[in-house]
Amino acid sequence: MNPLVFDINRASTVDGPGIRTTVFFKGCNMNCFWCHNPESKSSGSQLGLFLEKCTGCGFCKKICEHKDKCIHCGSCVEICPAEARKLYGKSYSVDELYRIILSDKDYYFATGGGVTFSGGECMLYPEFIAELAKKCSDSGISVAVDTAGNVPWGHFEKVIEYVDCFLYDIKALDSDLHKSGTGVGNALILENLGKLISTDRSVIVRTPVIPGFNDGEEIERISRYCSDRGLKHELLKYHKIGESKKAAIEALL
Amino acid sequence: MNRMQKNINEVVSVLTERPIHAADVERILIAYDIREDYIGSSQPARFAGYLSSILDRVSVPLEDYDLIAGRSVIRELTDEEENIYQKLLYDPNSPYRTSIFESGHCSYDWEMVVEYGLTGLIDNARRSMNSKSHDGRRLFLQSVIKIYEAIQRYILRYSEAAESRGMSDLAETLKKAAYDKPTDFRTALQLLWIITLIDSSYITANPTLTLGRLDKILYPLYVADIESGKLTREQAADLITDYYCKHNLNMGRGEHQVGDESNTSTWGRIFNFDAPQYLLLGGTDADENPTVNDLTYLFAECIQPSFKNPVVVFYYAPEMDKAYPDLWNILTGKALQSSSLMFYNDSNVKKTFLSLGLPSADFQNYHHFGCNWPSPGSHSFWLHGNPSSYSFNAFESKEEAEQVNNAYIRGPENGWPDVFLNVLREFRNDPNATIEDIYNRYYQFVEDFVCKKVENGVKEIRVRRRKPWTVCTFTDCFTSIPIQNGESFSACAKYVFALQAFEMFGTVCDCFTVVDALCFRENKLTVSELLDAVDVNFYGYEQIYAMCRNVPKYGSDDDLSNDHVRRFSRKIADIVRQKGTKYLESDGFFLVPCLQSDTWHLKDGIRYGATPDGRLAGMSFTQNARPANGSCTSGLTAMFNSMLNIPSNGFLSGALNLDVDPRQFEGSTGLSLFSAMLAVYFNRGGLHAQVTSVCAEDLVDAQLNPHLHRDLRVRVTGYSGVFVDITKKLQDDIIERLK
Repeated sequence: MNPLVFDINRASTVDGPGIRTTVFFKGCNMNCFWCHNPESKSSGSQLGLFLEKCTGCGFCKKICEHKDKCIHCGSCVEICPAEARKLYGKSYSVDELYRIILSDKDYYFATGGGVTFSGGECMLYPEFIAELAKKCSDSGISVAVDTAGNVPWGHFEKVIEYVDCFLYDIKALDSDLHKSGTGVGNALILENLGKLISTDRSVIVRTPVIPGFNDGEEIERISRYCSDRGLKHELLKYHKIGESKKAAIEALL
Repeated sequence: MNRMQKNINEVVSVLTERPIHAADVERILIAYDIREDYIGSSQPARFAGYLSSILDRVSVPLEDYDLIAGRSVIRELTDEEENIYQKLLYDPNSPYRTSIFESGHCSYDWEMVVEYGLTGLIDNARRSMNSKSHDGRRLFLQSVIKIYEAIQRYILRYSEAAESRGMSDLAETLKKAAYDKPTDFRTALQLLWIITLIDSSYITANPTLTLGRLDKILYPLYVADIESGKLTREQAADLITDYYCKHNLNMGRGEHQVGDESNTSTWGRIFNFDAPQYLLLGGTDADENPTVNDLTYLFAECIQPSFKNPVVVFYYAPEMDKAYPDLWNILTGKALQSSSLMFYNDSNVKKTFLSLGLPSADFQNYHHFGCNWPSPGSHSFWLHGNPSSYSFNAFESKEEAEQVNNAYIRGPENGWPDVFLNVLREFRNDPNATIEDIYNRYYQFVEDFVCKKVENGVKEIRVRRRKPWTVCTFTDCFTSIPIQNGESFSACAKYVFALQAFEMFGTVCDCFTVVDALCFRENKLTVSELLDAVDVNFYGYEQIYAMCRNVPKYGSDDDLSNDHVRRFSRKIADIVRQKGTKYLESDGFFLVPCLQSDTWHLKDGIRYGATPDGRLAGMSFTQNARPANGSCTSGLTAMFNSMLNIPSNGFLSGALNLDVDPRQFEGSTGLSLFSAMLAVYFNRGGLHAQVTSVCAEDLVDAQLNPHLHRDLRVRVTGYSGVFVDITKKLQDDIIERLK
């Protein structure tokens, strides 16, 4: 079964060099408390309800054929006149995604951009990513992978041939701190980063600056860690856009 | 503070504080004073007489920091003046009402002005007059000469004023501008400005005007001055900046196409309401080589983001971003500052003129003089610019006069979306109907409409041409054919064209897409069910409303929507090409295919019911060539891709108000991404773009606190607007665009 995609962001300017199409895959094996894409955590499809938009018209209930157990069919989303409902998670084949990515190739070529696979954790699906990345790469489209690196090295081995750039998240160097914020330690993450550095792929380390978590000395430590290894380090601004989506998902739990 | 900064500061203050345009009152009072002087005279003699009297008597204000002379009178009105002003604005029978001589949308032959100067133009007109035996033509040319001489005297009065203030350089330049063929950059710019000032202050109520391809016209003088050491590049930049300043002092306070004149904060204060004036840069020569020179750079570098006018139109030639990357970066950088700057694809314009059947030599120097549509050049006239055939008084019968009176048809009575709904109703109960049937019926209506418009238009022209010498306008003084023929330009222009605008293009495309998707492909609804819902504004049919809303629309780069945009735009362009050029050879008359709505998308939207695209009653339609607000859900590149389905040789107009969040393109990296992205759009055949770079949050704040945001400029349709001065409805529309 193909991994689900919860968003495709075209004309992105923040997910690697140039103009990019960013494909966000669902499913993550970490649990960052600040996550700005809470709809990405589960690998299955999810329904969201934005309560502030809901007019209480009841059409969603009327049309629902699975009142006992929601199967995330999306019928209620299509019928909602207030656009208060949203279904997170759509299945695409490799060819379908490739076609969408290809639509903007002129913009990639003109700006040194390309496609970025993100998530969630896209590296949970190495076979799918490898197949899609190969198709893109064969068409001359530059491929980036946005990952937290918390996967077996074997996953990287499957895709590395087709990837030009890794956007590699380091949330904290202190493993205990990392675990407190994300639910997992960082030994595997740092080990994979070390291996990546030894390849000829471009690696950009990125750190979301989370107030009260890593915004003090920890950031400086990460910066030093990167500069010692000749790695480019980018800081990502913390924002709260995840909160409304989280509330929307929780409204239907 | 240097001299130029004083000028710029003055402009910013004028643009933000909106003082009274007292030049109007001066003109009104003089015209009132001389109202009986020319009774019984022919129109050319009357016009020349009025204008001469006005130019001989109006103030010639100067400031010590002026490099270019020619200002509007800006001061508070006296109570008596205020009274006169208000009467004129609101009382149709006001005794202060004087005839307005023309209504803008003019293409002067600026090259000719610089080539001959006023004395040379007088010589040309006199030679032409002496060669003619027809009394009417001789009188026409006499009037033209009288106007030239009045302009000379007006400039000379400015020269004397400059001399008396010790501004001897300026006084000398003005003397040369009055009498000599311009042989230096400053004199030429001075002469061009004075003519523009007269046009916009004393002639028209809507001085929409092309300022010409100044980077070409002035380049030989600029180079000669630089080479001889008479002028430095910096001095030229100061002169250009002052030329820009003067435009704003004169034309910066009102709002053009405000949407609803009763609901704007400036309408009651500005008689000569603000109109865009278009300065043209870039483009290609006859061999399609880009024609960029150092003046192109200089005019671009001098653009001030806070100014409203002139609107700089940069004609983008294919791959220009690669040939002139630094120029392209300057321009796109200015665009990201929300400057009054638009990009027009030179290749599209030329291909479209060619496809309409014009010989290429006849549109090499095409112009922009109106809200975003090009004319083939200073040998062509827009049919609906004044004066109309009524001024020529050449009707053969009352019936003919009535017929021609109805010649101007903007579009179908209730707009193009209404045509769609009427067609759809014809198929309400037809179980065998297909989307092809609906298309074909719609196209039949378009064809009938175009044919009728062509017949009406040609009647209008033919009436004018019966007595072409009986009307004289300011345009006639600055275009070559009237001087040669002794005939008004509005009758004797080589080409006359009318716009065939497919307003609300995006709405109609979306209606076709939704009907095709829901009624034919997915069979979720019958045409009848859909119409039932639309007819009651979806009330009680909320599920159908949601279905209509959920069909991917124009702007999303969705396959089905793209197909409909492609087939619809190609076909309507074909119809105009085939039916709208019937009289091109015999009368020089043709229709220009446009995707232009100006602000009618709001005005018509307010009074129209729901449409099958899920648009509710009273909501705005789509603007110009843009997709509907809220439809570009997949980002800028997807919107570009959707728009690129419109054929690049199909339309001469279809503004894209490109709204970007400045945070997305910050810094030099952001600028280079934006530049490259825009270049891709144009290299692939995009027609037009003008950028508003502002966050929706800032606009909302400007609605709440207008006094803090008087400097906020936005792109409205083909011009710049002061956000806090435009109507609330238009403000909301722009905020929606940005969302």
